Amino acid sequence: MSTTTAPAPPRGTGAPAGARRRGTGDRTTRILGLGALVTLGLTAWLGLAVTPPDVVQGQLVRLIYVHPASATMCYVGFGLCAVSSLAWLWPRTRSPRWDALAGASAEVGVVFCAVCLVSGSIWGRGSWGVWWTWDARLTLTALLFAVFLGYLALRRTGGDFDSRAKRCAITAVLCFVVVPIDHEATTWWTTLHQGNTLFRSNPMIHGSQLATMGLSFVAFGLLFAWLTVHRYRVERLEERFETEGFAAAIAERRAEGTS
Amino acid sequence: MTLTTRSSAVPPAPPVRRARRRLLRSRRRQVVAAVVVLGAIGFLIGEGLHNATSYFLYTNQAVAQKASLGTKPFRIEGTVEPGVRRAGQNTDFTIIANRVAVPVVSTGTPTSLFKPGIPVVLDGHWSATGAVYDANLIMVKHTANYVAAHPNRLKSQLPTSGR
Repeated sequence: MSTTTAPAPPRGTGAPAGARRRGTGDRTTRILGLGALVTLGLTAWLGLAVTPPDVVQGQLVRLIYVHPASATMCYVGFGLCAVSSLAWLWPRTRSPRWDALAGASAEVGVVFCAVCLVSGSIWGRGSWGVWWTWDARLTLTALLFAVFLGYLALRRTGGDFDSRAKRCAITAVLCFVVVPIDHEATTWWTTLHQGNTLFRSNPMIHGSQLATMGLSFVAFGLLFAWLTVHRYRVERLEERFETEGFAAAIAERRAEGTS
Repeated sequence: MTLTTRSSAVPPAPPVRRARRRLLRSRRRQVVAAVVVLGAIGFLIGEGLHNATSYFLYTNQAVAQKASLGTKPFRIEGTVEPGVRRAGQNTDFTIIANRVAVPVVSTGTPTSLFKPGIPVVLDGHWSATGAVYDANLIMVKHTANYVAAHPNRLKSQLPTSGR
């Protein structure tokens, strides 16, 4: 096992030199967390109590304040994972921090992907009449969920740090290919899933519904950032634990040998 | 002089055979996990590729391909025309897309959103004579357009005692 390439004790956790941090929170995460809490609460209030129902879908429309934002955060998570993986693969920017960020963002992306699949399924049952159908958008989102679960499983495999990180980085970049295909599925093929509502030249939602939908993106974005920062710091602490744990075991053996 | 063996004082190292068995067992688990994951991905890709390119046919496409489709199952898309009739378990209606209408006999229970003017995707097949489409599932295909319901607009049309 290579020990020369093992990650150095992390400095990105925000702890001052020589000090030991308790937990993974600091001022930044507290601001992010509070912002997420306030905007999520506001989205829930506007989405459930203030905005009107839809002419066709009635009360089902309220899922629009959860489903598209969670799908977007899932794409952002997998995108950040791919960018971090590329940064790790490029020798000039190679750092264990990129590997940790890739793992953290993929994990949070998978959580949002699960929220997207569940909320979409509930919406589908109400409007389409079925919990699930194998149209292009749904199939590709399920595939995205499966491949990134596989990526997370790959991160848990053994071997030395460098070869494991390289394996995972290449896999992340390959897995990310599904994201743009999934996003464009409703344009390229005939699908039961509706097309794009918001990100177009003439949004097909207006007034308080549009404002609340926009707020849901801000709320889910803040939640994504809060979760990712915490998860990244946990990842770095795990690395430090492994490095320091290994050093402690060596010291213990040496002490045994001299006694 | 003590006659006890060193092994009784020092805990014995795990036997090589047991370690190898453990390694084999963990490798076997990894292989099984890999097979399950690859199988699941293969199934999803297969299902996706099969359905993705043409999840449904528009009515004009279904009519044009009637001879080749026969009574094979396929999905059809169109907007529900006024004049939905319910007869027992069946719902009879007509769908239209690209100026081609198709009469439908459905045994499926539609959702509450089903009504004339709404696009639907139906799961079923052409009848033996090819005159109607036999649907066993009605899926309401809502558009990407959202219009807020205005309760006041409806209220203004209702007769009130004050007027």
